[in-house]
Amino acid sequence: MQLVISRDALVTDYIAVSGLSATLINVVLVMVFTLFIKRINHVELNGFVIAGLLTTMGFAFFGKNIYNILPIYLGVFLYARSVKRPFKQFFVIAMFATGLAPLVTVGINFGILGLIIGSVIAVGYGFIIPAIASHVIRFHNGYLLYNIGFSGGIVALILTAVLRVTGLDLEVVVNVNEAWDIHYILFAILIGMSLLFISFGLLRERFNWSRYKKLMSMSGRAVTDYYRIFGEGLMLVNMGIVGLMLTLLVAFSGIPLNGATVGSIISVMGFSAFGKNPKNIIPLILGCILMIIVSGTVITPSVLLVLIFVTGLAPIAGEFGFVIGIIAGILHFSLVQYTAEWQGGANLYNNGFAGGFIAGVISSIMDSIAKRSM
Amino acid sequence: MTNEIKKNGKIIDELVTYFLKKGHHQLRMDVNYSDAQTIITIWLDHVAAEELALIRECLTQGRDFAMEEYGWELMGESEVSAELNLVGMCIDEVEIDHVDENIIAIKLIRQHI
Repeated sequence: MQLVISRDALVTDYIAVSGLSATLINVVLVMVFTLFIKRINHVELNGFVIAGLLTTMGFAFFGKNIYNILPIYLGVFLYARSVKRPFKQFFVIAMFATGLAPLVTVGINFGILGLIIGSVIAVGYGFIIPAIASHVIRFHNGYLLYNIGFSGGIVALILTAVLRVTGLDLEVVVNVNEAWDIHYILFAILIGMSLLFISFGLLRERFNWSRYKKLMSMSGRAVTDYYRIFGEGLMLVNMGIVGLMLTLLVAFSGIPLNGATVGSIISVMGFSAFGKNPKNIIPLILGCILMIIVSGTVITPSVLLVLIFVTGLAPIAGEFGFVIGIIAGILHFSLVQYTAEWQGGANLYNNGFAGGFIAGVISSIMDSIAKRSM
Repeated sequence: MTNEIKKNGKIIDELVTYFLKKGHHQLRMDVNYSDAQTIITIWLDHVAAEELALIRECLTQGRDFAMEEYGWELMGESEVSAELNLVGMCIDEVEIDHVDENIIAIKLIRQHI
């Protein structure tokens, strides 16, 4: 109960709020609900759906719960009805749109009335997000994989400004697990998941290095669906490899794993069915590490989230190469330090919001250079 | 469906950009638009077997309305990147035939549902 009625703002680790058992129950509940909606709407599996499912699962560790995602689903459902199209066409958008689930508890300090107002705002957000998302995608031209994070961030930015002007100040929270015994359990979960994905992938299909090289030769720009193009065997292997890489990167950082780092790695594994691969994420992570070294930044849980989620810019590195990927990582690391505050922690996809600006700027510059050379 | 003409324009834009970037500097295209469907046919010279396999892989993915809704505005937008994945997700049927030894015809059918 404490988990459901917590403020949920970025970064609220449910393990720190209610413990590991309650968090895992929340993950199960959120996934049962999401898979039930997927099933009754006859949504077929593809890379985009897998990315949405694992992102939902990941964020159920830190910010999404069975209560605060419902109003957003309702809003997207009402939008589908209003444009007279089946909800299944918007199911994935609804899954990602729950990144603004903390809107529901934005007025939690005002009791039941605050929760009702928050829920109404969230329904309204769900209703407008499909239209905003399809428009905003042209800003970064698909070079950011977290389009709903960017679109939702714009809405959160405006809402936060309105609420702040009216006297309701929203604050970014950093409440994460710091216990090492939990760290080892979470480490085992991540390693186990990654190895399972690799094993299932290898069982489905014998590993073929030239096919994997082909997968990594794709930029990853939206829409690159590894499930459809390469089949589930190779896709699962890619998801497992990316999961292992990030788990090892974060596990030996000296900071105990928490719900946020675990959830973010699970989410990135999901996007490894939809554009991310080792080749296009490494330059971005290196760019961030370079910036950490140069700026003397102390490693904190929030810094680790940036290292993990900078990978949303994978298409930039995949399309424009290693050096531009490093530059994107450097720029992203710098900008993302400020963007959470702009949105009052209401958008769980803070890195998606910051990444949208970086992707838009870099892709427009590179497009302009390409135009001149054509 | 809405935006049918606009979506067809985007598909054609992406196709032409893709094939020009891949070095097919001579290509012919025929567009047949009706209320029920759009048929786009492209004739290309000298397509290598590996390239043809990739084209086939991308274009035969099957239509995906959710993905179409999400990303159709991206087609033809980038000067740098052109890939046929999204085109494949906006297409109901694909026929790829060898007209003669050097020329292949790619026929794309898109229902206006």
